[in-house]
Amino acid sequence: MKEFFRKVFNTEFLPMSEVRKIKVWLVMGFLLFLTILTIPYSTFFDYSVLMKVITISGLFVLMGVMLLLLRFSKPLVAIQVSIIYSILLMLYYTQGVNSFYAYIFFYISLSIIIFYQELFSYLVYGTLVVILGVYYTLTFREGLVTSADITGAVYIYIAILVLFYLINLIQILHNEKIYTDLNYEWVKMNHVIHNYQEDILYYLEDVRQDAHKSPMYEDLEFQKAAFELSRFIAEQIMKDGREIVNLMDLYVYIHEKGLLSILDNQEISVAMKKTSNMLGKYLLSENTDMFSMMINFYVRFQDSDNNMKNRYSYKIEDLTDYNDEQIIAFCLIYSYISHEIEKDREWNQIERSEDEIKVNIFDQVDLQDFFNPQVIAFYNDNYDMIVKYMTNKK
Amino acid sequence: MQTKKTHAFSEIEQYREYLEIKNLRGKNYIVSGVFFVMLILTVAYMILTNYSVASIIPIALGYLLLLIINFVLSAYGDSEYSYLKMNKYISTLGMFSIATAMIMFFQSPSFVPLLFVAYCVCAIYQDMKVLIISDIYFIVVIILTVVNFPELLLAQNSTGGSNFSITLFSILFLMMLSISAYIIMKEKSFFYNQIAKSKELEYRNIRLLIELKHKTNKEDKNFMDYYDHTNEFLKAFSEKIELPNIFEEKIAILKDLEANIADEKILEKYSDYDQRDLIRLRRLLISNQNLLAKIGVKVNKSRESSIKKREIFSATHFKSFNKQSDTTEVKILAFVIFYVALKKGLLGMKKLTNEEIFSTITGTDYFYYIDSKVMKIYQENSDVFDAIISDAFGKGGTS
Repeated sequence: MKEFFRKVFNTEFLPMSEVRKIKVWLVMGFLLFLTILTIPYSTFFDYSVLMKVITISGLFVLMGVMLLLLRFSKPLVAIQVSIIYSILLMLYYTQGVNSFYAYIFFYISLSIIIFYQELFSYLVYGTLVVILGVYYTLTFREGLVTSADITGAVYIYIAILVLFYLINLIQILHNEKIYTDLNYEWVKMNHVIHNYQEDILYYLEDVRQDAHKSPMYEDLEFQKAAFELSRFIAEQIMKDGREIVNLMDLYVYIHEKGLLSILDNQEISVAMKKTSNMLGKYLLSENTDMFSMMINFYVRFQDSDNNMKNRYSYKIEDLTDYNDEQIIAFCLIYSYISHEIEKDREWNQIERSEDEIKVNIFDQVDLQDFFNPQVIAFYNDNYDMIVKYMTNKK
Repeated sequence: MQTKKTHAFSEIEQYREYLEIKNLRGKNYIVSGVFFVMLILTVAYMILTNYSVASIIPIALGYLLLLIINFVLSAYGDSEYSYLKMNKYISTLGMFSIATAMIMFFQSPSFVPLLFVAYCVCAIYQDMKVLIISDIYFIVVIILTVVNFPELLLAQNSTGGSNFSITLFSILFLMMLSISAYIIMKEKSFFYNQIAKSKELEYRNIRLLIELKHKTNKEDKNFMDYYDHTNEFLKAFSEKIELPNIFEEKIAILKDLEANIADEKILEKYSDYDQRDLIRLRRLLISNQNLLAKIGVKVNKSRESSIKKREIFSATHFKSFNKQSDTTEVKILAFVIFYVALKKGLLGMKKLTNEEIFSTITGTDYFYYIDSKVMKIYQENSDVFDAIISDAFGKGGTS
């Protein structure tokens, strides 16, 4: 329980899949509380005793289904079941008693659907709840409107419910757009960082070879420490450290043979291939998640300047306001990239055709991220001349 | 044990705030739009049901005042962010005040759900302080309504209805809304954190990349050629447009700066320039850790990446040792490899101390990248971990 609340208070550090699970647990807790509360409230409802028993028991069964779905890692299905559960509970209240607090249940159901922030669920279930709400308000108006009430009170109930639905729809659409944009930016950043780390791995490999040291995974001290530590942890969690030792052997074996050759080998079992695939993310010899997390850990201790002004800006106009200087900067960058491309070709021993020289080296780059419109226009207007003079002619 | 974890990079706070503010403008437009629609609906209802002009004007003025404040503060917010923040709180208080005023004025239970609408309008801001203000205001108004107008919420045919039930269910509803708003707020923070962190990681990775390139002698020794190519091209360009070559002198200064010629000598040679020009031009040097060199690296690496649409919605780019798809054994092994590799140290990188490793893993967001059971064992047995490492590596625990 303590662990769960710690997660809830720190959801900003957790990925979407984890948060989704937390949401289902929270909704389940909330629905369980509401269901327990419903037992004494059932005495006010116009249902037969049998109907009340069946409904409450049915709700508890559904609660069990949700638990099972979570246990078998099916949070998306559990979300749908929890929404249906809330609608059933809402129907139980609204069809059993006509009162203002039954009317509140339309809002409670809507808020549960909103909580998941899934546009499709909101459009399907949310719309259904609003339609039922309008029907309830029109049908059971005598439970909601007092004799001295204002003119058109029943329409105010409806208007506010519809307004509540629409505002939340706008909010979900807005959030959806923000999250898509943010996610895109995040993925874009990850791609570029992956590219930097590709080169970092290459340079570190160079440093290692110059020092005549063996790769870390071949180092016996490293292997011994990893064997011992993983066994120590496994014995405490699973009371058996033997399995992890085999896994460690497989981990070293993947480094020696290569992940692809293991996956392509017909003689290796499916289970072993599956485990190898899981371990593939954590190889030390390639630009994997493991390597990335290590480098990101290391750079935390890198000497870094405290310059915060334009720290993350890569726009030339933040370096200088003068157009002529921006054009010089553009040319220098063009020349640098042209040289880097040529260097890559030499390393990979790829012959360059005449057509390739004419290919725009900024094809995949969003120039607006770096240059102002005047510089981009200058580039477009003088493209042939730039290629002629600036492309590395080696 | 420290319960609240910090971000691995303290520098990201400013950028996080920038992202927050960038999205706040869009939220302000939505809130203003809702105020406007509510103004129209309220006035239309009052006109249709024959309320006097004297009754309509105060409510319409309330909405209009709120709208004007919203526009003014949003406009000022373009130059000073604090106005945008102020706008959130004023809009929240204003929205709840109008809702309360309408409940009091009309004295009809049908207007009580307006508080729910007020709450969800304010939830658009996704701000903790706004959330607290909304919660307090909501509870106070519901209790005051029930206490001062007990007959208001009891309808004619309320068999089971009581003021207690209404208050209870309203508070339950509020609870659900608050939890929902809180988690949504945190979800949004997740992206802000990741993007801000990626920005800082990019900044530091570029720096490391240039450093290692230099260390391994892989950097281009002929970078002066870049200036020559640039000069050659811009000379031809000036001839083409038949204007004097305004670039030549600056390129010559850049070459002198690259050659580490003293500023005084450069200024002596180019009397039209002063120290400020040199400071600015120094940023345009393409070698080493200069700013233009970093931009060059970024442009070059951006060139090599393209994103497929399905990747945007994939969770695989979240790097951790706590992936749902991994078995417990794999999670244990991933952490152990990471930990032992850090202890062993990467050749070419700064050696990290035991304290640096422990405090970063347990005190920053790295804490959440590791399976909670594994993390618990590490926190409770860090001495055992060190002893195992020392035993395997020999004295000192590091190679």
